[in-house]
Amino acid sequence: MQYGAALDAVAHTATDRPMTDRSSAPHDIDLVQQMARGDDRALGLLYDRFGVVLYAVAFRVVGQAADAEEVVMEAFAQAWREAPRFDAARGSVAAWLTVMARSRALDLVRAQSRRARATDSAARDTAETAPAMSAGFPPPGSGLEREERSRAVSAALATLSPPQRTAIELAYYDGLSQSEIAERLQEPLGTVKTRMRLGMLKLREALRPYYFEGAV
Amino acid sequence: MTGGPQDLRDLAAAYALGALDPAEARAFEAFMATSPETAREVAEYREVNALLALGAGGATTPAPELRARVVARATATREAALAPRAPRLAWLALAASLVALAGVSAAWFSSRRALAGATAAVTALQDSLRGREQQLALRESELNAILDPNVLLTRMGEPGTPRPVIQLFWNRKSNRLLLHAFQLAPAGQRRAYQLWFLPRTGAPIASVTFNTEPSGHGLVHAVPVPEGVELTAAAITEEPDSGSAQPTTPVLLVGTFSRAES
Repeated sequence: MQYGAALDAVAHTATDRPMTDRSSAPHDIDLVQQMARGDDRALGLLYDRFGVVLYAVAFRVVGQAADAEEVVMEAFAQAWREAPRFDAARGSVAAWLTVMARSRALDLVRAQSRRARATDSAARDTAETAPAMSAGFPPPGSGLEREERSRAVSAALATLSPPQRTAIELAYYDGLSQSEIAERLQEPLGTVKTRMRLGMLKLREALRPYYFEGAV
Repeated sequence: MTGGPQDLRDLAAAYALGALDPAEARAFEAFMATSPETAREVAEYREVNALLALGAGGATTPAPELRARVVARATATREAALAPRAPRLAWLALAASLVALAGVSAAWFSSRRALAGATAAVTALQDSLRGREQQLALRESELNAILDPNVLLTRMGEPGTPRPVIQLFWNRKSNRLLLHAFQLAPAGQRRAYQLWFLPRTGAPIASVTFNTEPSGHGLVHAVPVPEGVELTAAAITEEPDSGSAQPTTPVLLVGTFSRAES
C-alpha cells in the first residue's frame, strides 16, 4: 500500500537533513540582508534558488504562463521592498517568499474575477488543466536538494486520503476558506475542518526533516 | 464557532493556509498573540506550505529571460523610490503639516493615530498617482503608435461577421506594429493566439503569441515585422501558449496587406 511505503521512505530519512549542494554558498538570510542593502545580485541568486518553485505555484494558481510570470515578478519585487523588515524569527526565507507568491497569485485570480475557475480540483480533467499537487515530479531544472524535497513532498501527499488532499488543495491553490470548501463540496463544515487539520498534521510530521534553511 | 484554547489552536493549519473566515481569523490572531506555542505552530505550517510549493510540479518552466525581468522590475522599484518627486513631496509636506498642526492641541495618542492615518492616505495617494502615471505613459505611447503618419492600418476579421476584430497598426518607418484585438474571447487553458505573416511565397512566418482579457480586449506593442520579404497578409491561429513554428490549427482571422503596404 502506498501509505506504508511512503511512511517507510520518510522514516528512513527522518533523522537526516536533506543533502545540500551549496555548502559554500551564502545562506538565504544573507542574501535577504544583501538585498535589503540594494544588492541586485543577491536578488538574482534568490531567484536562482526559488524562482522555479514560485513559478510552479503561481502557474498552478493562475493557470497561464504570462500571469504566472507577472506573479513571480511581483513577488520578488515585494521581497525586494520588504527585505529590510524580514524577520528570521518568523520562519525561513522560502516560507516568506512562498507566502508572497501565493498571495499575489490569489490576488490576481480574484482581481480577474476568475473565481469560477476554482472548480472542484478533484474533478478536474488533469489532461486539460495545470497539474495537481505532486504531478509531474520532479520540477524542471531542479537541483539535487530540490529533487529530494520533491520526492518527500510526493511521498507525504500520497499518505493523505483523497478528501484530505482535496480540502488542502482547494485552500492552497484556489484560496477558498473552510466554509467555502464545505459549500463547494456539500460537506459539513466540521468535516472539512477535521480533514484539513489532520491532513496538514500528517504533512507536518512527514516533512519536518525537509524544511528549508532557516525554518523555526 | 470557536470555543476554548484547544479549539483555537486546532485552527493553526487552516490559518496558515489562509482558509479561515475573517471573523475566525481575527479571533485566532488574538489568541495567537497570547500563545507563543501557537505562533510557532503557524510558522511551522508555513514551512509546510513552502514545501508544498514543490508539489505544484508541472510540465511548464519559466522563460529563461524571467530572471532578468525579475531583477529589472525590482531595480525599477528602487529607482522609482529614489527619483525626485516634487509634487508628491509637496503633498507629503502638506499632509505632515496638517497633522502637526492638529497635534499641537491633541493628545499624544490621537496625534499618533492621525499621523498613521495621514501617512497611509499619502501612501495610497502616491500609489494611485504612480499607477495613473504609468497608465498615462502607456496610453500616450499607444496613441503615438496609432497616429504616426507612417502608420498603415490593416483590419483582420472573419469574412461576413463584424466580430471579433484585430487591427494592425504597422509603422513602416520603424517596421513595427501595434496589434489591437477586441471582442476576441481569451484562448483556452495553456493556449494563446499567434500572429503569422504570410509572404508572397513560402511558409507563414511565426510572430508573437498573445492572449486577450476576459473582456475580449488585447493589445501587443512593438511587434517586429519581417524585413526583406514581400508580405501579402497576416493571420491569427490558436496555438500552445509557448507558440508554434508553423500553424497547427485553422486560421481564425486574416487580413490582407494592400500592395502598397507590403
